[in-house]
Amino acid sequence: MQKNALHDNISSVILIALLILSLLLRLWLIGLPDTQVFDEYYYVPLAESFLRGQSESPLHPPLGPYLISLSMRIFGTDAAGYRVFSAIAGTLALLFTYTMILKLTGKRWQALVGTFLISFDCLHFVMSRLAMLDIFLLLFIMAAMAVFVSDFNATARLTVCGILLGLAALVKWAAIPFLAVLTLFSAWSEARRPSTKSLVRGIARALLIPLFSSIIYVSFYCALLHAHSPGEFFSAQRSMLSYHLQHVENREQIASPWWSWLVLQEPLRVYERRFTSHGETVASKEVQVRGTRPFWYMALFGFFLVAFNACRRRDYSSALMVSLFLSLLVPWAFVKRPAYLFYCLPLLPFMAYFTVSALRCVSDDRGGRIAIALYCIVTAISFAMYYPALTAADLQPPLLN
Amino acid sequence: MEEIKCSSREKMLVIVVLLTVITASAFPAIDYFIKAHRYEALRRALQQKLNAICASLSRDLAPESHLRTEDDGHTLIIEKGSENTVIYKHIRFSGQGPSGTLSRAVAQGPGENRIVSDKVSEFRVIREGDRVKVLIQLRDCPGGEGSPALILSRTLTIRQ
Repeated sequence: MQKNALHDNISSVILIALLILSLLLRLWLIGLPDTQVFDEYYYVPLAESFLRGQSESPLHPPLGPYLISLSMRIFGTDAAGYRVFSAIAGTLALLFTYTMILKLTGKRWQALVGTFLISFDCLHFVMSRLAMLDIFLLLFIMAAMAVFVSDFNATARLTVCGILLGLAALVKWAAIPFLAVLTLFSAWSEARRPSTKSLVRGIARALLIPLFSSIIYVSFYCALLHAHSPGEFFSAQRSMLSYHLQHVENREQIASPWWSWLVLQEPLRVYERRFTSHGETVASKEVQVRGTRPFWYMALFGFFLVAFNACRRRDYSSALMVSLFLSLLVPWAFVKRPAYLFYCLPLLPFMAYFTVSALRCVSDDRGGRIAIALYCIVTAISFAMYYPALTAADLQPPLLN
Repeated sequence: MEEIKCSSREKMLVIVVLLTVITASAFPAIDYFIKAHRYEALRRALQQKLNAICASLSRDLAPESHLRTEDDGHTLIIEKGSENTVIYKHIRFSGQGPSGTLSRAVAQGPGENRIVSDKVSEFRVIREGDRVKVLIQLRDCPGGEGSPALILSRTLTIRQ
């Protein structure tokens, strides 16, 4: 018993140290580059409009730009000011990831390894240092997941989960398929009860998720954008829908299809400044959106292993995680506008779960544990290798090509 | 929490994939850090050369100096000394040849024609009103021909 308590204390200390390190890494020189980067050109002016009291958010729901405006109000209107909330959101998402994996696996070491992998993931790191929407989407989705798998009573759990997913949908609509799948799974888990009465009650409880999501979405949307009539609200939703289904941007060259994201093809350069001499590039500063290879490749393998468990062994947790993962990925196949690599940011916690699920198979013997430790070290080194290309530091082109 | 046991076949598969991922990721990382170390050493060496050139220029640009620039934009002429003894120092960028040929900065004066650096890729003198800007860039190609170069640059601003 005492030994378990000691292990728990050590795990808590490691977790806190990891979270502090992650936050400091994300905040370090967060104001660089000191110009707006990629979609910051779009979201930062929207956030400024919130600061001036002229709120607008025509292409996405308004919570993301509103949070950026809060960051600017607290930390200043310069580049660091509009990015600080992203760093905080990214670090909080790590904490919720830890909670989710711990609840699903019951093993602290798996939760720690999963959190470690995300904290040293290049994609998570870069998106935690930019004033864009996806990091807030990740935050609310992970908060909802942490609550969903918690031990609170079902009504409170599903109500809070619905509220958090309503906030996630207020950042980006990408949360809606996730919300639908989570509701179905909630209904499924409740439907396993033997009596008809408890079955009906259980399904009614599952509907708390979409109910509270809708209430939060509509009320916050109207409050943030000062929409006073149902007509205004529905017109804005139709406008956003047409953007997602029809709008074609002039960025096809940097877009990538959804199925290519996990196999890590070309990184997406969201900021690039080249120094040339006699027509030749001799140095550059870049911010690349890319994954950390050891983590992503192992996650891809882990996905198939967990999917196998879900199908063959009818394991509820495996089926839940595979379905939620697919709910965040597959809808991009039906979106006509160009999609980008960083849209897969909310997949990372699920990828961490798949990875630790695979690593669990070799954790019983000493050799396996050494291999897992080595794997974590290689992942951290891989992150360190790309660090200059993630932070707009001076970069010599041949090093990372 | 019900834990699913892994079969021996799954364990074997996981260990093979894990070792493959570790090996495949470790080699590029080692290669990168060796290259990065080499570049850092080179950068430090070039920085020292650049500092030496700038120090030499600063000495030549003592208050009693007179500056002239030639129209080619690459030549800074420093006239130093009293009315009777004038020492000319030309520092000019020259010898931009085909790829792989390094350029030179040559300090010229009476009885003197020394190479300040053989790694200058750009030496430009820009006149802006009563000021002269001297841009110096040093470069090297450690990876041989076709390899992008390491570059350092510094701009000195001198009032004429």
